[in-house]
Amino acid sequence: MYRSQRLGLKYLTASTVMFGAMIAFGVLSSIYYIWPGFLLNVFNFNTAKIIHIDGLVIWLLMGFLGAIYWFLPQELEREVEGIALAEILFWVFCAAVAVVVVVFLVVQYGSATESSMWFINQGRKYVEAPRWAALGIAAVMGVFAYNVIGTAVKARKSTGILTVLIADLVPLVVLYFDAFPEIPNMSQDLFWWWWLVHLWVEATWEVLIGCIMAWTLIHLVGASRRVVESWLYVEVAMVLGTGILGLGHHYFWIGTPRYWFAIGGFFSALEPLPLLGMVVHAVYDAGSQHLRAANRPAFYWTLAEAFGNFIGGGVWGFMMTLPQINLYSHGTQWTASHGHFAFWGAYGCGVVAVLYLACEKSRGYEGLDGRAWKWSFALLNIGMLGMTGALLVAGMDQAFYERAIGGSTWNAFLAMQGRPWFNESMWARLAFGLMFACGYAILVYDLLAVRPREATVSEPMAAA
Amino acid sequence: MIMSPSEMLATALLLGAFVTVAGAYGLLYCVARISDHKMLRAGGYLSYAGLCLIAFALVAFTPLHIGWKVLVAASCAVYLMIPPVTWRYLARLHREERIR
Repeated sequence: MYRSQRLGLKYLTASTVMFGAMIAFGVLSSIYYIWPGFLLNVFNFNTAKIIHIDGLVIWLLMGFLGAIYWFLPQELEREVEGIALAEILFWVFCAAVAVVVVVFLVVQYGSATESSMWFINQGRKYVEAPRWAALGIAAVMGVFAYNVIGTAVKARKSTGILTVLIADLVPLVVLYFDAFPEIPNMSQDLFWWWWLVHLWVEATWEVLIGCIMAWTLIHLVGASRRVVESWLYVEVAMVLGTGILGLGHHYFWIGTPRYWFAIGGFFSALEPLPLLGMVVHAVYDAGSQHLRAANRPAFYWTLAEAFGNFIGGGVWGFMMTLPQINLYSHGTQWTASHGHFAFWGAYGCGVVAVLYLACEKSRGYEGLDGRAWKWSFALLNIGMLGMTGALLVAGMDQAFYERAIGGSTWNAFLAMQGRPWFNESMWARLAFGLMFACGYAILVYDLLAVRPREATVSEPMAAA
Repeated sequence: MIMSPSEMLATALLLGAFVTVAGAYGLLYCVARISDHKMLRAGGYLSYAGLCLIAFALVAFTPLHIGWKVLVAASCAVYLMIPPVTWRYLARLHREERIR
């Protein structure tokens, strides 16, 4: 095994740990909606939510880095350039994340001063990590870009997937610098902040996961490189074509000119089209494999990625993206429902697929199967479906009573907190959140239960 | 145009159903191609008919702006083509790969 692959496994392990932390703080956050006085003066809701959301970004980012460090040396048949630096930065990254979490847990928030921004919280959603840590993440991303590009240059070789990945690294690294400006005008600040949040997630991350899934298909089912690459080009063109200006659907109510209604609505309404193409591709591949693959968990998680992306991003997104609807739904639990499902479908399922693939290869198996992964698969996906369904009902209730009838007043907001549909949905969300957490526990158990052995054994299935 | 609360809810649910049924059509189309099963093929066509009905309801009965109505109608036509066009493209890629 290459050193880079060992580093990839470390990143995937760290990603799994962060996945657990994200779930724990998600469940904790959901309790505050039921008992608003929960942990009063001990640990506030905002901090729990920050760790939940930032944990989401970090577990996925670590999962992507792990996947690429895993696949890259196989792609170029050589060790990754600058691997020693990457290994050091992995520990720096983990230490930084741990320190930031401790600061969030212990200090929680500070006064509105420059030092708070540097050492406690930057105060910008999704990128709350204090500035020193944000600089650390920028350094990690810079070294990662150097690893990928440097290796391709040294190898004097590139493939279609690698070329797409290298092209994607430029905006991936550059857009992160958008986490740093201090703009006192809130409209201007949000205008640029969405470049980071939306363009990272709906442009650069989509391309990144496209490359990772392309490699996954090659290694999982022996898909033809030419077919995978041809499809990747089409997919990237369609996703970027609709996703970049789909940015406009975040600009509806932040003080931007009216033309963003038309641009944002139009391009985000087109976003489900490529997602349907991905579903067709997934079914085509599944059919050509007769739903059989040696590594069944990875195969099913890959399928779940295509369907989850379509339902979470396409169906949930299209319901609320047109400005006339979004006027009421923006910022309600409806948005949270879309966010949960879309992130899970587009990225979460893909990272879990890579976890199983790396687990199989690194421990010397020719395939994986068993009962535990089926439980984990069912509990995680039903849990997510239940959570997003509950949030959808709560969000529609909010949009209907609090926004459309109540006129978004403070009074309407308070009245909303006592509405039965809203409260029952919050209970349902907690229950399904706990189901999701059980699915995670079984996933971890299943991954740990695969014991290392010699790779040459011909036994096709390993009890997991 | 500002929607009333019930119009907003009904329109949102129709928009969600629109994409869900489009997905069902795509899925059934592909599964029918793989299994060559008549019922599945019929299910695919029924789903597309459902998609057209929902598109009609969105265009005729909701207070969506005319631009969005045109977009919904155009999307309905594009959804019809996505599964067969994508399928043919994938089949051609695989065929060429086998020949190579």
